[in-house]
Amino acid sequence: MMLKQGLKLTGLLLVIALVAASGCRKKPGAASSNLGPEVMPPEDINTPSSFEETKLDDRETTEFGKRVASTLEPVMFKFDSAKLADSEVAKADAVAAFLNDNAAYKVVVEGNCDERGTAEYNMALGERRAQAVRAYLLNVGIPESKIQTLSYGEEKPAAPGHAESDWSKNRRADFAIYE
Amino acid sequence: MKTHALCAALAGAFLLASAQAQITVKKEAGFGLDLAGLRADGPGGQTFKRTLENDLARSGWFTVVAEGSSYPITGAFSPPASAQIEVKTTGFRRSFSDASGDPRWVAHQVADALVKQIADGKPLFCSKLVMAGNRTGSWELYLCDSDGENLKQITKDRSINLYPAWSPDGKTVAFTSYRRRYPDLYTLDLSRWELNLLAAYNGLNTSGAYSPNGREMALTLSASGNPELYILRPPVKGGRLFRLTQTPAAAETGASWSPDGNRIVYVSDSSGSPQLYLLSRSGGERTRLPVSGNENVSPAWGPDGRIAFTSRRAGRYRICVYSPDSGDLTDLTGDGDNYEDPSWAPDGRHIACTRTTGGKNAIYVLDTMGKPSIPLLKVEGSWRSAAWSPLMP
Repeated sequence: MMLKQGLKLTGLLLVIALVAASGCRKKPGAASSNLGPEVMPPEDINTPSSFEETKLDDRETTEFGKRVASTLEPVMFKFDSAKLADSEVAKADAVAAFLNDNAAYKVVVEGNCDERGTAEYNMALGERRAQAVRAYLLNVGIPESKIQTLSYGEEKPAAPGHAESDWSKNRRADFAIYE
Repeated sequence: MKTHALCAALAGAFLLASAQAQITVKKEAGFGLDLAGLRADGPGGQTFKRTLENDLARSGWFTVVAEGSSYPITGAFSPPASAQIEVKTTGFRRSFSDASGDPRWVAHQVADALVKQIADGKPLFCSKLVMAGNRTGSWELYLCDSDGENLKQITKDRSINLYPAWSPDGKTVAFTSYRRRYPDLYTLDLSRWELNLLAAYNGLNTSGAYSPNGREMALTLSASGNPELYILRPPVKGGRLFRLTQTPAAAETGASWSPDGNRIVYVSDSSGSPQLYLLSRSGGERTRLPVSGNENVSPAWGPDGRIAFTSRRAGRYRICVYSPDSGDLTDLTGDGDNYEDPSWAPDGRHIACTRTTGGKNAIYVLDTMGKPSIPLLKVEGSWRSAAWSPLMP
């Protein structure tokens, strides 16, 4: 624990030193910048100290080839929920079976919402729905490299109306299959 | 006044603070202006004068009245794009011009100067708005002036383009686009007309918000398996990522920075419904913004420190404004329509937002000081996700 904190602190000091060093190097020759002066104000250095620096993978889409037709049924969701309901598990199992039977295929899980709620929040909710299905598929052994998620939020309704009968059709995760 | 509606559910402590804060609001400004002594001939002059009158009315500070008003505006417009303006009663005298030859931009400069000189208000007219419109059949981004004129389409990829955000220098717009099938973040440099990919991690890349000094961007990414907030520094592809939230069972999105850049307000549904939270960049626990309502979303931290947001109240989405200093809460839209996505004008008084009536969206400009709301555009189509730029030279 102590060692870990010590390492963290050392890392932080190193970051500060590097930032300071690069700031000094840049300063003399710096062209006028729209971002203001080249000297770093102290608050810029605080960020890495209080929040963890992370690395994330860029999306690997190159191996997602041509889209193929499939008859996989969408998974439906309750209002404002991203939980994979018991009644929907069989549909997710069908996707897993399809991917197991067709080794060359991959899936994009597309999360969708009904129009209620604000569009920006629904973008996040649609992603949570897609991720819930993805988590299930990973759990039953589908490799990570075969699944991408995509949220359309409320932008791609399956039913265009404004009644619960429409909304219930729109709270869904579709499965787009790729070669 | 529409600025009423203190929320009854608010804690008693806030009630007192609110009552005091409301008294200090300048209710009816209404400085009378007389423009009869302003010469503006020819087509350019007419455009100048029409634009100026429209701005003055939209500002909420003035009424343009006949002779005998306390502020006679005199001077002349000269083609192609300059004007000499005098306000005898205040001793104000200045010339204005626009290098690109647009009489409308001269009018915006004059209107901003009069807001400052006579009303002691903050300028807002020398600015632009970027928003999404679907008149081509897909959601593309458009740019217009502060009065809705000069509308131009700036994306054309037939995908979905949403949630534009301005860099603080007003030169770059960051936005979410599905042009490569997935929701990714892009930047468009408006002076060089250059499009760059900003973030394309696995999953969702959206809701970019530049920090006030422009060196960082808060954004929503789901590559960890769930939508979380991050900071990207510098705000370019390959910049360093710092993770702000870790809630595997909840979504975070919609970040907006405090004017000093020290705090972020954002949406999280970890409590079971989407609510607003504050996070300090110096770390520590998040705190929930003490506002009622079963959903509170799309926060926008304004230049004077007030936070506008969308709040679901009595079955409708409304635009509310919360002041962290006083605890004052104002409901700006009690008319039964749904509103969302507020964005502050640079004057810290007006707010652009989306108004939904009968399945159609339009951008409206709201006045936090109680004057009626105004539609921004006269053009057909559905419009949403407006972002008001900072002041431009």
